[in-house]
Amino acid sequence: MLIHGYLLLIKPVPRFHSRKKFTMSSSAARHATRIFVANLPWTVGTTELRQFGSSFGRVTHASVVFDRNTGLSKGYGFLVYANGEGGGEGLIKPGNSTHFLEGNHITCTLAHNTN
Amino acid sequence: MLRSISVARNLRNLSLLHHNLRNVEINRATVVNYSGIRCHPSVERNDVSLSFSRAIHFTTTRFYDSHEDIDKSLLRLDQEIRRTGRVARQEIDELLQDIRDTKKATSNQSLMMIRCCGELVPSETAENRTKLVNEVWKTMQNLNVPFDISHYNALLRVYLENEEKFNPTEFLQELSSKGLEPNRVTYQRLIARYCQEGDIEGATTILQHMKDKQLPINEHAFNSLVEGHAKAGDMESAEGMIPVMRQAGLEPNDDTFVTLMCGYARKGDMDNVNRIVRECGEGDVILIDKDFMSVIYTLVANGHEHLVDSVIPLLTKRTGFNQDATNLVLRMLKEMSKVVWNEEVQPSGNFFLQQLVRTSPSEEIVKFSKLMMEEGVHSHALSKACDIALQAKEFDKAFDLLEAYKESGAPIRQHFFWPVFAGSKSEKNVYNGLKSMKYLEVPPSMETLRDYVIPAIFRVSKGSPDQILERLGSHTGIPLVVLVPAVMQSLLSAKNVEPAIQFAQKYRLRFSNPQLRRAVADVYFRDRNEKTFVQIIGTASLDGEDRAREAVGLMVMDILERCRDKAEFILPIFKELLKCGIGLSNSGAELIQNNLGDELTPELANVITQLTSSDLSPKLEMYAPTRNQPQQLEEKSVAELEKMHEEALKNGKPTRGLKKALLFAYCRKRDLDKAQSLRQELAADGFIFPVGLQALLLDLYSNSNMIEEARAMYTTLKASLDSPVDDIKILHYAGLLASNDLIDECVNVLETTPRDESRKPSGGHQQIAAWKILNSCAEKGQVENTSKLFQVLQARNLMHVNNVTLGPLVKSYIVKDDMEGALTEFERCVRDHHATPWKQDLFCKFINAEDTDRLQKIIDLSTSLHGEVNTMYDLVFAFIQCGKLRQAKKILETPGLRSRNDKIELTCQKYLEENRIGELENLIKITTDLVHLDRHTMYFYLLQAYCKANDADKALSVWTSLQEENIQPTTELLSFLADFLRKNNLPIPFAPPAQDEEDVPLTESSRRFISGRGKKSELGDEATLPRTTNPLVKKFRQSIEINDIDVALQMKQRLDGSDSSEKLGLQDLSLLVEKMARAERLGEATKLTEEMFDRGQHPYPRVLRFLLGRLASAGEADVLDRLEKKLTPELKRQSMFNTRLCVAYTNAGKGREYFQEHIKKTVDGLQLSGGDDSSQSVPLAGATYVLIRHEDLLSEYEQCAKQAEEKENYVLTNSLWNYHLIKKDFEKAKEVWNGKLKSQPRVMFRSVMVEAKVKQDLDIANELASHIGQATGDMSSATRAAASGCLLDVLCMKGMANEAFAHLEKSLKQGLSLTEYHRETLLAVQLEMQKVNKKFPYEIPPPRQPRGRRQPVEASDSDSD
Repeated sequence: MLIHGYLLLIKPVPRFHSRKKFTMSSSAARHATRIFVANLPWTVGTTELRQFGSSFGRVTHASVVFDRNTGLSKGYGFLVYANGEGGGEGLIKPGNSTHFLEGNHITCTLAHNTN
Repeated sequence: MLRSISVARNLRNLSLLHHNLRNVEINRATVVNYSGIRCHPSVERNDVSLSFSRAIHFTTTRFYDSHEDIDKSLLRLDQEIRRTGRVARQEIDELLQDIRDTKKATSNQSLMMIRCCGELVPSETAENRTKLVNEVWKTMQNLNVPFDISHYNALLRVYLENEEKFNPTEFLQELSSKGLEPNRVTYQRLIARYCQEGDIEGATTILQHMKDKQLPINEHAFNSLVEGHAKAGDMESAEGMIPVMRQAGLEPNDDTFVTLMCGYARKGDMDNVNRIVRECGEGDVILIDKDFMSVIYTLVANGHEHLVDSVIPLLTKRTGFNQDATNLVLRMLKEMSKVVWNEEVQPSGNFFLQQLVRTSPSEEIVKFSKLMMEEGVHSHALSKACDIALQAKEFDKAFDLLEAYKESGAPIRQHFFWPVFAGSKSEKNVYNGLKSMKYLEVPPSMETLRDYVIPAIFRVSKGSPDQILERLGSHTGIPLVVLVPAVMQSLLSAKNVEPAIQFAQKYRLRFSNPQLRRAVADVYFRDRNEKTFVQIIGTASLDGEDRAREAVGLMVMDILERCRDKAEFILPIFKELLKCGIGLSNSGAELIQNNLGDELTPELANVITQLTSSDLSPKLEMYAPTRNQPQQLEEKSVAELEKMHEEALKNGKPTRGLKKALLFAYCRKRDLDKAQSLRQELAADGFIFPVGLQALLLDLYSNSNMIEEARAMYTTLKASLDSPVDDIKILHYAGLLASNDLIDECVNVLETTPRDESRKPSGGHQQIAAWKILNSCAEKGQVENTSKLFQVLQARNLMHVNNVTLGPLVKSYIVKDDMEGALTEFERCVRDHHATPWKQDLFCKFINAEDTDRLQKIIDLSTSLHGEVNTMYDLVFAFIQCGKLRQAKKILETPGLRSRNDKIELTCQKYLEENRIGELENLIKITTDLVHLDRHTMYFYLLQAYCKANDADKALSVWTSLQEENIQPTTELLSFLADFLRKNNLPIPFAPPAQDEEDVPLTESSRRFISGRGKKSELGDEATLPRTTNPLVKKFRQSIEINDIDVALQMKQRLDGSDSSEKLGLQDLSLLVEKMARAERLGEATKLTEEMFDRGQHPYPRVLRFLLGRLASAGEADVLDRLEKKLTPELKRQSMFNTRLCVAYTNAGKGREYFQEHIKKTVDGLQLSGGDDSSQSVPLAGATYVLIRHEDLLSEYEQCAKQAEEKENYVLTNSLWNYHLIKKDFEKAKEVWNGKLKSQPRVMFRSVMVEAKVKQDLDIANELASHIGQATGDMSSATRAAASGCLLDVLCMKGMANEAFAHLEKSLKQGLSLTEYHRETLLAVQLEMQKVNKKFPYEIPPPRQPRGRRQPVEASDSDSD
């Protein structure tokens, strides 16, 4: 499950606050699987997390949370899978919620519904 | 305190540990096998080594299939050895396999391989290492690698390290059977071999051998004997060696005593150990912690653990100790009980890494991280270390660590650098981060730039957005296309809308960039301010109305896609757009309408219709006007201007403007004569000189030492001055005054000339100018004047106060020999200006005067500024300079003194440049035992110095010394030595590296770029330059590009003077030589070239050829003679040296000399069969050239030619024939031709063809063609065609189409084919025939492929271009 190389993929951190107000809060979003990933190693950025997540289904959105003031990774992030495809379920199967990524055991849990 | 206690405890643990270690010896091999896993985690853990080595091997055979790649692997190995002192067995195996596969290995590569089979592979058992070395040896032997004595010596050392029992007699026999002469090092090692066994008798026989051969016996041999006696258990005899040594004039060194101590330690005899320690203390022998560690090791190894505690108090616990102790801690860590979780061994030792990052230099951190990984203590140690460094904001360390991390094969990612930018405290920090990203080949992404880099710069710097943009661009080379949107987005998200709009106006946004659009839309959603929104989009209209319409379409679509109550958001925008006269494209409008769908209100539809109307035109009043500047005359070059001026004169156009521009240009180019005459011309014309021009003229006069003119110009200038003058010009003028002893006037000028007081002094130019003023006084010992001028310069902020400008202050006292004054002045400089001018000289003065008080004072002052380490090193160099080696050595032996290889290299370089060989030798002498210093580099400088002094014996002795110290010579060093020996016609006792190996130089500086460098082409000139981040190098390259030689030279000087590891590369220097040669600055070009030769480099052959050509036409025969000694035969051939030399002599009016010295001598020395070596033969074209210039030589020449003919060399005859043809003495020509020449297969006549064509001389062409037509020898048809073609060319030039065609017909009948002719010739014939309305009946062959074989005529005569 190692992520090789890195890919220059620019995916700006979405502004949830503006989205919340202005996007059609689609019924789709409600069913999308949103997974909270913790204990990420410092080497993993958004690109790497996306790559990692992609082996469990189609990832529509990935993000590792960085502290803008220090530039350091906070060690957690989110993976959002396309709805209705069962993506990401392999990550949170009971008894198999830890995975190995670049030296760390990461834990994945279903995120609370932000809506 | 706490730490030392814990260390002591650890040391006690060590004794216990050691028992374990002995038992786990076999397990080590497995550990190493496992260690591979981490690099290739994809390999399953089950079938450990087998699949792993296969996986590795698969890649290696693919990539390391050439020599160079093996070289690179070896280089990596070498680096690893230097860094960690160890190599992994696998790497050696892989390399060996690669060498077997490619069936090639150079002599030097073999040497490296052999060396790697000893203690450098600590994880292997001694038996296995011996097996390995035998395998390597056999492989190399099978490949017929030429072995020399250095290989055998290396083998000996490996045997010694492996404690392999071998028979020295057999070894010597093998040597003599190979015809190799054992040297000092060989014998020393054989002695060591006997002594290892405690066999003194055996050692004595070898000693006898050495005595017989009159080889010097040095400390190494004696230390071995001490060990031999000790091993034999005879401590009395061991101690007895010390007086013997002293008798032989050798001082026992710390190695001697340590060997002794270990001997006692083996027996557990602490009393004697303590006694020796005491004696050492009394005898000024410094024992370092490592020595005590050896004693501890011996104690433990021989079962005297209980005695370790008594040694511990002896440890001095200086800096070096920590590192050695850390080594122990590391071994302890390995033994820590493993935390196992989920069947995975968890990394341990994080606390250790934390501590390391906080306290140690980068190399140490990397070293230990790698060790921890290798030993399986912490699988991600390096990565963790990077993380810790970033968190701790130790960014400089982080860069080094990341580099190592990358080297270990890990990917470097954008976000690794975010903490760097987020934590930047100054602009420099930010740029350092960018530099590092560039170096590690992760160019900053948009995200990095927008979210971290640019905000960081805005945070730490005061500049306006466009200043920042400019700086960022010039520092990083990131194109504006990338930077502009990033800056814009950054401004917008920081709510700096107004500056953002201004910025957008200046730099034009591309709204096709979705991220940019998103940022702009974000601002609108945030502020709901349609005015600013439209202003931002509207900037697109500055590029044209259509652009604006397009941008609006894109932006509005973005807004629509992101919001729900669309009309509410979009209507204000539309209204504002209408107001500003910015419209929509039809297609855009359609898309918008579609998107709106049912939300499209009548009002919206109405506005959209209005917006698509073509009546709208953007109202640009909302933006400040921008100006476009036309190109100024001032920007044109002299040649361009002169041409324009001439044309203007011809056409009767006004010339005054041009003349003014031209005068500017002349002043800038410092062309005094032309400037003077033009100035007078203009003055006579009643021209009023503007201030700028006056200032330039003042500068010109100041620099030309024309004091009267300068003064007059200054007076007028000052009278009409309303704006400040350039500082540098004031300084130049003041310098002129100062050097003419007009001090008061000078002070007055400096004090009263108006200048922009807010300006800071800048640039090296200004510094030199200020220094010159001060120095001119200081040299005369005018203390007061110097200080007066200094004060003025400082007060008016005309110079930076630093070592350079302060130097004259101290110097003025030294010149007068007023040492007290100098010291006081120095002290003042330190106190007031934090600078230490003339420190080295003061050191030496006081050392020589044995004035310890004052010396101490200087040391204290220097330490307060530069720190202890720097001062110590400077003091070492001062002691060396004064010949006080003992003192110098003592300082260097200070326990824990940090090694400063950069400082040492710089000094070596200085020694070399200034021919201070003695000091260089002494430096090497006193650093003998200091393994942490880079002795190879020192030796290389020494070698260069010896070669410079043409001392072959000493040069060769460097090679022996390298063997003795077990230092791997680089290919660079070996080729340098080989070239030197070859030049001096001396035998080379090793296999010199092949030419192509030289392209991979192993110096520290080039090492870093090795990976980024492609293989050079034959001439190498188009090879890409290694990338650089050094601003000086960058500036240098820029100035080379724009032909600004002065600036380039300045940069070079500063680079040479700086202690930056980055130096100019071969290509840089070659280009500089070329540019200087083109600018006819031949002296400087030659000097640089000679410098390069002295350093074992040379400009590209192409450049060299060009330079030599220029030198030759300038008649610089002496220079060429000087250069000749430095050129290898290959280079001579490539640069056509002989021809150049001949031309140079002739142009210098020394044709006769050339004839005597070169031609005659060559002929005399001709061998019957030889003469083919181009370096010896006479250049034909040159010989003809001499003859034409010196016709009086003819008879001698003829004689000489006869003589050569007898030796079957026809070059002179050939040139005689050429000569007669050119002189149109056809009788004689015929006579010569009908002699031997006619039957020769290879005849040259290019100069004749040139003559015929240039003068359109039909006679010559006819004669030539007829001669060649009669050739009886086996002459190539191409040669024949060349002569025939020449005639055709001349006929065509004369418009004689019929004759030309007839000749062609005839030649074709005689067997020549059209393809042999130059295509151009045939085309000319065709053209001429068309002119007389005739048809050319042949089809002209297509142009030749450039890669095709060149014609013999061209090839043989290429000497003459």
